[in-house]
Amino acid sequence: MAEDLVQDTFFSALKSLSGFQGKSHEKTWLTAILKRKIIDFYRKKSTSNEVSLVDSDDHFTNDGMMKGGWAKEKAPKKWSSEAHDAMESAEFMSILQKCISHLPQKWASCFILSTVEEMESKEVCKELDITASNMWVILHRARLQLRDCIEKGW
Amino acid sequence: MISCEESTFLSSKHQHVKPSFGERIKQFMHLLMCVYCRRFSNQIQQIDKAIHNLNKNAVEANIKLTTQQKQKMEELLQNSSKH
Repeated sequence: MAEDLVQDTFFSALKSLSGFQGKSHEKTWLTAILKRKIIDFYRKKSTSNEVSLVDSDDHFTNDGMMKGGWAKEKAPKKWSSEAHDAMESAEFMSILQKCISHLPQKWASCFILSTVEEMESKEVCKELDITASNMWVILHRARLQLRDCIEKGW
Repeated sequence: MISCEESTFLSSKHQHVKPSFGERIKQFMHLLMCVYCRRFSNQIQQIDKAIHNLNKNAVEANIKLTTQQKQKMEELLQNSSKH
């Protein structure tokens, strides 16, 4: 996928070569086009299906005295110190990728643009056409699911 | 007192924006008593940090296209310029 986006970037650049005034460095120009391609890629993905946020809500208990408390089997376990050291490894990278792919597409797009691409939250809202409060809810749900998935994949 | 659901929501949000004074108090009180939410908060911070480092390492690795990839692109470009 990364390769496709890079290829696409060169195509677009060549097509609009006449529009390039040479005011900025070629690298800056190409990076800007690539950045746009990445955002568009995740934006397109995120519009494909809308997922109800309430349905997948099984991390917390829904009723009784402990309403809003951790569901027994979802409560975070202690991570070993080896797990902590391994977070820089290629193995972690592959677990992370797998876990992100299990997220609903809209959540994944939102999470990737916010953390991997390190975009400002305002910008993410604009690109994905969601409200700020909606975005916080999505990021919250995405992290709950990701953390749980990583814990199990370890 | 806020619930674990609210506390984890704040932990996630504060990875991106600064907490308000009220949020900080509520969160502090909750984390003081709740080991699970303390773990959650620590672990998501670790995850975000790992992602940040992977990003940094990728830039430093200075990944280049292979000859094969270059050839494929060249062919595609030549084909498209014919039309």
